[in-house]
Amino acid sequence: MNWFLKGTLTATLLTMGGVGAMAAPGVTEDKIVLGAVDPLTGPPSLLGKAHSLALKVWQEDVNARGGINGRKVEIVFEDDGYVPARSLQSLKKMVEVDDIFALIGTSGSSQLAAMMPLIDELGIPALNNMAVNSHHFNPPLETLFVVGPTYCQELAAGMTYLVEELGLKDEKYAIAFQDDEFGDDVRCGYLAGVEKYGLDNVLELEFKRGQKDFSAEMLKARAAGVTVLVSGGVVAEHSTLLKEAAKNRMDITFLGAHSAHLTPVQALAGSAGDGYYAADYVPALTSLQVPGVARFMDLANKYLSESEMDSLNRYALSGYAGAMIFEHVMTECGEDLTRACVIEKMEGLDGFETDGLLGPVTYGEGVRHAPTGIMVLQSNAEDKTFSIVSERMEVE
Amino acid sequence: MDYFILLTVSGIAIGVIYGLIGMGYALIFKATSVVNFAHGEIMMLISYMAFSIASSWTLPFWGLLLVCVFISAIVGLVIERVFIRPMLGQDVFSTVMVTIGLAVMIRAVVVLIWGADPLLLPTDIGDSGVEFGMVFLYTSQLYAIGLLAFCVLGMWVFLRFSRMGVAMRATAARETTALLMGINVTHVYAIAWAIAAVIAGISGVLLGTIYGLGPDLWTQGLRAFPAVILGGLDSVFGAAISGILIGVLENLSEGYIGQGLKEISGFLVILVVLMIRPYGLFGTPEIERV
Repeated sequence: MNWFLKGTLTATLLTMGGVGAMAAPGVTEDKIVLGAVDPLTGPPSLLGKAHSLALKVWQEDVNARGGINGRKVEIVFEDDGYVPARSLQSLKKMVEVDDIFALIGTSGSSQLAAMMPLIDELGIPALNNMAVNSHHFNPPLETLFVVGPTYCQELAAGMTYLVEELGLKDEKYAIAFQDDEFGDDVRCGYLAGVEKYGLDNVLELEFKRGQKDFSAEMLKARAAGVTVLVSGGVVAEHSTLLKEAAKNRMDITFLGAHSAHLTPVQALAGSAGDGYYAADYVPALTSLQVPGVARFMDLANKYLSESEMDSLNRYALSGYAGAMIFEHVMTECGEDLTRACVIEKMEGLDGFETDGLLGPVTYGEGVRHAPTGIMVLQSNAEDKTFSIVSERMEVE
Repeated sequence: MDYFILLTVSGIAIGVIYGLIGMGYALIFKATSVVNFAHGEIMMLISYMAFSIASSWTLPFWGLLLVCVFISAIVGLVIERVFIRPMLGQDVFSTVMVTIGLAVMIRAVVVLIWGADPLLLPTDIGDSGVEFGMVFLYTSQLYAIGLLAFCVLGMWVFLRFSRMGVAMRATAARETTALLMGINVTHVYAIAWAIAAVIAGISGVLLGTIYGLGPDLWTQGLRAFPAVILGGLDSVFGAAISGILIGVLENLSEGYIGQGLKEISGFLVILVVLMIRPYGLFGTPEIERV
């Protein structure tokens, strides 16, 4: 933290009559101000819009229920455009201008990494429920909590499902992965599965972010006799790989990370998008048998417009689950809401349930990552839905 | 051998798109000496417009393409009139900077209007295709090959036989002399931008049909750029041929070598070719008397 910010904060504390008598930042008699940094413009706004809409739904709902211990919740949203420098700038603005109590939206993986030093220095309670990377909790920061598995853990669980549930042990495996941190994380899970079950890894295809044409890659996969393809693409890459496989008359089993659990992937892939698998830690929006999903969709129908409803996806569920966790710990703190209390209560979470949105959430002393369980979903191209096809699996 | 044939054919399929995009770059450069860095973005803009049209009215593919050709021409004329014509008389570098600004603006506008979600361009050809022995090609890819051939032939006829085409070549050869000969150079520029936008529109509709739409579609313009350099910046025909060469080369390098060579193979070829023929394979050698 720079000297100016430190000075400003110290002066503010002294003006308010000393530390003992001071309320926590962002907390007044009748209001709690929370902050959320999300990508609301640019290509990744697919993620950020859904996430921020879920937080809005929660805000409306919690305030309609009387707030948290009588205090209304106000969320300040900042758009970082998925640019790490802007994420940090947004957080500084929320601290200095909006005086937020805690951070409930932390944008993407690199974006959170850019904000981590400031979160740590100011001791802002923060919850990452959108893009998980091991750098976020290894080594752990005192005030930063992460919920959800890494892509590596997700894919490893997906591989377990393919082998143990579908019996695909004696197949020819391949992976196509993006040449960045995300792709490396997906590959990590793939290789964990390959090693665990002694699978035949016949091909590893690395591709540039934004690549549109995968004809050569899939011809290579066909020549190698690939029967199971793991995709380390973001959104459109999954669809193109699926279409190329169909075009080349390849009968493959296709597995992606939770980025494949999006309806645009199905839409772009057309009929080729039927039956592929996606590993994820939240259910589908249509899994109304899950109490958490049913409640969220009821609330979303109540508080969101039709066009906003169209923007919902699995990131809305992870966002809403994160808000549930925060609501729980803030409620537990009672009227004397402080950052120290929230961190203490978060640390004390042991098997906290989010009505099926996530697996049990547990943190502990020095443990800031709750990977929760992972499930596998299958795409139904015809009605553009996903079905849960596995039990929630423990993260290894 | 089968593998080689499959890689080559699929390389041609993506190469014709590079070729189409490259033709637009080359035409603008030939007529105005400006490298239009917004060409990929114009292509993206028109493909999103095509999405809105296709979502609102049920049109067959060729109907949609015809409407888009018309709209593209208008887009090209508007861009030339609003952004490029005021730059007449300024140095080329300034105009190039305007095209860069225009590119950024179009990217923002596309996300603002259509959002950032990947979209499918709904056409009646969808995922249909034709099988030629072991080779399967989407109908849209076949159309792309036909359309490239049509555009090359059309451009040749236009530049060789039409009054405007001859005027365009004259302007490209020596603008001042063309002006003295009574050629309306601003009119020539406008027509060049309109035709380039039409070609961009055709490639945009094809790309949208084959790969879907996304706010990063403009990057295909950059991928096609090696084709223009290879063919010669001022050679419309060269860009088309080089697009196919680059597409095939990319696929063969990925198919036989891999290791990310697909991404750089086009640029490697450019480096080699430019060392031997700095004006590209089909470009006009510039001779200066010193």
